[in-house]
Parts: sequence; C-alpha cells; structure tokens
Amino acid sequence: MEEVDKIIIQSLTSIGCNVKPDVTNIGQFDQDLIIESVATLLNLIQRSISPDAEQLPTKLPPSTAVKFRICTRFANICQSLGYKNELGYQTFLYSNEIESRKLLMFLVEKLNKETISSNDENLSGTATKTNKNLNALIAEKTKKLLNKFWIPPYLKSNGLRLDENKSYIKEGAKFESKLDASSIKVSNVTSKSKLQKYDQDYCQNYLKYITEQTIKSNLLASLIQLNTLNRINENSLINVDKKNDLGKNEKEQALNELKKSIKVYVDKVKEVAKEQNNLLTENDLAEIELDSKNLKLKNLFGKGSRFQHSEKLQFTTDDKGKNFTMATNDSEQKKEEEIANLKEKLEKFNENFESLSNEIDKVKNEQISDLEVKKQEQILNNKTLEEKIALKKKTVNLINDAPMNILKLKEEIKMHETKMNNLRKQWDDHKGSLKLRKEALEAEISDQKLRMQQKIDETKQLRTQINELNSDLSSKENFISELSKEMETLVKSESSKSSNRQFYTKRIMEICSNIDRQRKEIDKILIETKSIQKDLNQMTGKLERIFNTTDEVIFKDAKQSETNKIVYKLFISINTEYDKLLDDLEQTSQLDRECRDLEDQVNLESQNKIGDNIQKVMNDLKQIKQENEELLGKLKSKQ
Amino acid sequence: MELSSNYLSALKHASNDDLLSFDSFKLLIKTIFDSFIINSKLGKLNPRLDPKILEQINKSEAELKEITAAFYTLLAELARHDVDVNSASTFLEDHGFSNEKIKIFTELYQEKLQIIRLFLSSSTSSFPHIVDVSWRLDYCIKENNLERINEPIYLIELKLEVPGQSNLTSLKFSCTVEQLQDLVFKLKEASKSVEKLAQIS
Repeated sequence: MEEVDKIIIQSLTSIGCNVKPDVTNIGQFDQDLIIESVATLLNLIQRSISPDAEQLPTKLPPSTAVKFRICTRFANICQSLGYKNELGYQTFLYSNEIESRKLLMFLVEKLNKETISSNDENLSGTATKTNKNLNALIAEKTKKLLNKFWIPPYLKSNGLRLDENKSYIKEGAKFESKLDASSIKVSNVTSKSKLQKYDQDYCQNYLKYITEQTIKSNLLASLIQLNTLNRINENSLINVDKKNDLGKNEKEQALNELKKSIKVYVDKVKEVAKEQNNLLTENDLAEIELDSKNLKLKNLFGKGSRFQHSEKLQFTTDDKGKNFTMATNDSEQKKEEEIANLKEKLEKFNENFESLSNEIDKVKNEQISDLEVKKQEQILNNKTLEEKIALKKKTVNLINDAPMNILKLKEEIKMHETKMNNLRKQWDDHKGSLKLRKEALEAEISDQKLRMQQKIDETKQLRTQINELNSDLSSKENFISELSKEMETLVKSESSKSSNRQFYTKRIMEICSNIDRQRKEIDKILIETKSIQKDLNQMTGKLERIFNTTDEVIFKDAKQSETNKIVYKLFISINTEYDKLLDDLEQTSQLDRECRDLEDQVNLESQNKIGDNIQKVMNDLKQIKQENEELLGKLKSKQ
Repeated sequence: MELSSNYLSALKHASNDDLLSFDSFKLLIKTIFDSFIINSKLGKLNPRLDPKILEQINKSEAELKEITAAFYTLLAELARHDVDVNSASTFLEDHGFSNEKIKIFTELYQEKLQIIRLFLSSSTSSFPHIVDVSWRLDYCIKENNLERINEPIYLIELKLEVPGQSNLTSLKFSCTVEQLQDLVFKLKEASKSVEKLAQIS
C-alpha cells in the first residue's frame, strides 16, 4: 500500500496540493488535506470535461451545515464520475484510511487518464510557462543536432556545416573568433545640410566604405558598438550635446581668427619681400656708383644696403676716436670691391667655357654615332658582294671543264634513279602487308560494332528495369514517410505522459515480480499439502487394514473365552472413541478458522473507527441543533 | 531596437523616391545583402562590398557611404534582435519606405537573416573543441629505481579546434588505465547528460 500512497502523494503535489513533506501515507492525511486534494482533483477533472464548470471550494467553511452540503455535493460528483463504492458526506468528514485511499486512487487515475497533460500547463503559471518553452526549445535543438551523423572537421569549411535545407549549422570552434570591435567613421552628410567644405571633401574623396574600414576587425560588432555609443550620446547627454554645439561655434570663431591672422602674416611677409627686392636694386645702383666714383659713401649709408649697414656700425664706433683711419679704410674698401667684381666676371667666364665645352662634346658624340652606323651598313654591303663573287667563281670553274662534269652529273642521276626504284619496291612490300592488316582490323571493328549493338540493347533493358524499380522505390518511400508521420504523432502523444508512465511501468513490473514470487510460494505450499494429504490417506488405509486384521484375530479369539470377548468389546469401543476424537479435531479446526475470519472482520471494523465517528456525528448533531436553535431565535426576534 | 539619429536620417534619405530611385535602391540593397556570403577562404567572417558596383548609382559618394553604413547597422541590429519579417517591414513602413522597397527588402532579409545571424554569432569566445583523438598503449617494464613495474601506460593525443585558429592544435598527455577509465567515464557521462537534455519536453 505504501507504493500506492507514494504515487498518489506525488501526483497530488504535482497538481499543486499543499502536502507536507513529512506526510508519507494516506493514514496521515487529516480532514482539511483530504478535502483540499479531493476538491482540486475534482476541479481539474471537471474543467477537462467542460471548461466552464463551476469551481469547487478547496477549504471548508466553519459552519457545520454548509460543510455537510459541500461534502454531499462532492460525493454526488464522484458518483456521477463513476465511483462504484459506497460514498457519502461521511467519507470526507469522518475519513478513514482505506476509504479515502480508494477514493483518491480512483480520482488520480481518472485525472491521469483524461487530463494530466493539458492541466499541467494550465496550472503552471505564465512565468514557468516561458521557462518551459525555453527548455523545450533547447531540447528540440539538441535533439536535432544529436540526430545528425558525424562529419570529420576537415570537411567543414570554416567550421560550418551545410544542412539539407541549405542552412548552416555551427560545429566546432574554427568558425569562432574573439569579439574585436574597432572604431569606425561614418559620414554625416544627409542629416546636416551645413557641412564645412573640407568635411564634405573628406567624405567624398577620402573616407572609405565601412566594409573597407574594418578589414582586420569584425564589421557587425563595430557597427553595433558605434550605434550604441551614438544612442547613448543622444539620449543621456542632450545638455552636453548643446555644449558641444557651443564649443563648435567657438572653434569656428577661433578658426576664423586664425585665418585672419594668417592673412595678416602673409601680407606682411609679402611686403617684406617687396622691400627686399627694392633694396636689392638699390644695392646694385650703389655698386655702380661705387665703380664710377669710389666716393660719397656717407651719402649712400642713408639708403640702407646691408653691406653699408654693417659698415655704418663700424663707422659709428670708429667715428668717436679714430677719424684718421677713414682714408686707409676707403682705399682698402675700393680694392676689395674690385677683387669681388673681378671674381664674379671670372666665374661668368668659367660658366661660359663649361657650357661651350659641353656643346662641343655633344656635337662630337652625335657625329661619331652617325659615322658608326654608316660604317656598319658598308660592312654589310661588302659581305653580300663577296658572296656573289664566290658563286660566280664556282660557275666559271665548272664551265672550264664542261664535258667531264656533265658525265659525272649523269652518273649521279642514274645512281639516284636505281636507288629510287629500290625504295619503290620496298614501299610496295610494306603496302601489301599493311593492307592485309587494315582489312583484318576492319573486320574486327565490324565485330565490335555488332557486340556494341547487343550491349546497347541490354542497357536499354536494364534502364527500363531501373525505371520500374525507381517507381517502386518512390511509392515505398511515400509509404515510409506516411508511417513515420504516424510514428511522430504517436510519439508526441505518448511523450507527454512518458515520465508518469515510466514510473507506473516500473511499479507494475515490481508488482508482477512480487506476484510471481508469491505464486511460486503458493505452489510450493500446495505441493506440500498434497504430499501431506497423500501421507494421511496412506496412514488411514494402513490403519483400516490393521484394524480389519486385528478385528478378525480378536473376533476369532473372542469365540474361545469370555475375557477375549471383553477385549474385543474394549477394542471396538476404543475404535469408536478415536473416530469421535478425530471428528472433534476437525470441528475445532473449523471453528478456529471461523474465529480467525471473525477476528479479521473485527479488525476491519475497528479500523473504521466507528465509535469515534459516532462520537463526532453526535457532536456535529449537537452543533447543528444549536445552530438551528440560534436561527429559530433570530427568526422569532425578527418576527 | 533603436538606431542613432544620423542613421535614421540616412534611412529617411534612402526612403525618399525622389532622392533615391527604386532601381538604385534595389541595386544597393542587393549588393549589401549579397556581401553577406560564406566563403571558405576568408579567415574572418566580414561582409565585403564592391564599391565599383555602387558607382552605377547616380548619387554622390559621400551620401552612398552613409546610406550603406545605415543599412549595415540596420541589418546588424535587426539580426541581433532576431526580428521577424513582419516587424522589419513595419519598421521600414514607419520610416516612410514605399511598399515596393519594403517588399524587395523583406524578400532579401528573409533569405539572408540566418546567415547574418551566423556572422553575428561568429564573434564569441568558447573553449577549444575536441575533434579527434589518437592514442598509443605502452607497457612499462622497469626503471632505474624499480626492478618490476609491469604496468600499461596510455599516451593520448587530443586534437583540438581552438577558436580563431585555422589549424588543429594537439594536446598530449599520458595516463594509467584507471585514469583513462575515469576520463572515458566522464566523457560518457557528459554525452549522456546532453542526451538527457534533448529528451526534456
């Protein structure tokens, strides 16, 4: 019975009854628990039969009258479901172990038959439902992957496996790479109409396509990163964004200022350059003047050539103490200037000389190359002429000795003709043998053609056979697919109950083995009793025989004397007494059996706790009477 | 799923039939989707776009660059959230695409969604996979310290596929019979637990 109780308690907890973990058999069920479990079971069963059935209360109210009504309703519903044993309100209110076990067994069985699969999902809330869906999805995927046959890794390109429906499946780790997102730049042309020109230029000409920006890193990851970063900037840093705008304005201003300053700088530089040019011309003038006059240095100081500036510095220092050195300084000045001029002239002449020598070299080279080409042409001409001359010399030699040479040539011609004839004969021989061979080969070819034809016919026959077999095959495959579909539906319908079923089948197997053992024991006992009966029969037979023989002997002796007669009488009486004894024994054993039966019955009844139950019923009766009186009192007071 | 404002403006630009005609849109979308291709020669799974094809579209290059970037980002985000075709089409509808453009987009999207998701799933980290094993059984007779050992020793070489490497790497170790039995038992247990996972329904 423990096993049954376990099954019942397990299914009760699975449908959501609050069975405490220390409750291990139905004897420990109290009234509330029985009511609760029966009510939830009935609710589930009724909902599966008609979805809009009334919900039964799972807890009893304190009022006894209502308790009775609810329990009778339970009893009615159970009987309408097909419960065959005796059932009434007392089964629920004054429960005993055996009856409640029978009832729960019936209800659980009923529930398992009809509803357990559908109601499981109804009961489990939405939260667990999504969980279950995820688990089921995982299970489905793994099942699919497990059913695939194995493929060696080198046959999978990039660690990807092509499915039969042309989808890829990831297998192995070759396909994977670490997440590496790099920062990428995306142009911003469409959103902002006012873009700086240089920015537009950059986007147009220099910015790469995003697919080319991320050759080494992962494009999609980089894109997602950029998008997320942009969104974060937009959403949470709106104020900062404004500030950025301000900053941009400032930047532009700064840029403009920079540009202005650059312009000013450039202008300045230009002016300076102009001034310098002017100075240079003035310098030249000054030099010319120096050449002509060698005097009036002081007048030239004011015009500010560099040379004179430095001189001026010298003079200002010298002016203070040493005026007399002026004259010597002047003469030295002149000499130096003359030397400088002469040096410049020399350099010019040198340059001229170099350029002229270069030109001369060029002209020389050109003439030499021209002459070399002409020379080679001349050499070629010479060669051709020499060849012609050699030919003509040979012909002249031959003409000198004409008749002899003609004879020689004729002999040679004859030699060649005989050779030619020989070769022709040889060729004819060859030709004949080859012709023979050719004919033989042609005959073979025609033979092979015949064979070919035969084989073609055979293949045609085979092809028709193959076609027939193919049609057979396809019809059989269709049959197989239909059958497999049926299989799947069957498997699906069964898989939902498989866990419960496994449990039950285990139990059934155990029970079967138990029964087998018991039957064997019973068989043994039967055999033993049979052997005992046999012994008994043998013994009784022996006894009768012995009795008959002794009876005869004593009867014969009894005729001879009185004492023997008494012996005979006593013997008879002993026999009858024993018979009686045996009868009594049988009777006592029968009575014993009856006694045991009665004791069993008494036990059964005592389990029903009739005394307690009567006590409870009496208490309830009293309560009802009280309630009735109260109600009557209320009625009267209202009247 | 959300896109940043510069992408949205680019999408808006692309949705406008005056700014981007249907034919150019078709060409653009097709080249973008076609760039998601699984090629055994590529080390890393990255879509490759051929800019020469896009030169046929009568549009400034800067705008084209931005629109392609927007579409790639859109595809990445759609595939990342596993958005189905209907939701994707409503998204495009919300951003003003015409029915023709939506139709061509959804057709290609349905075809390529799985491959784009594969591209996404390629960047991950995992343990090396055991793909093959070779072994040798040695018999150890004696050593300098022990005259008699007489024990078998297994030399195991596991072939591993390490993420991000194209060649197999190997892991060598030696073990006694008990250790090998322990290893085999553990492996069996692991495969059983996977099977058990598949049976939950």
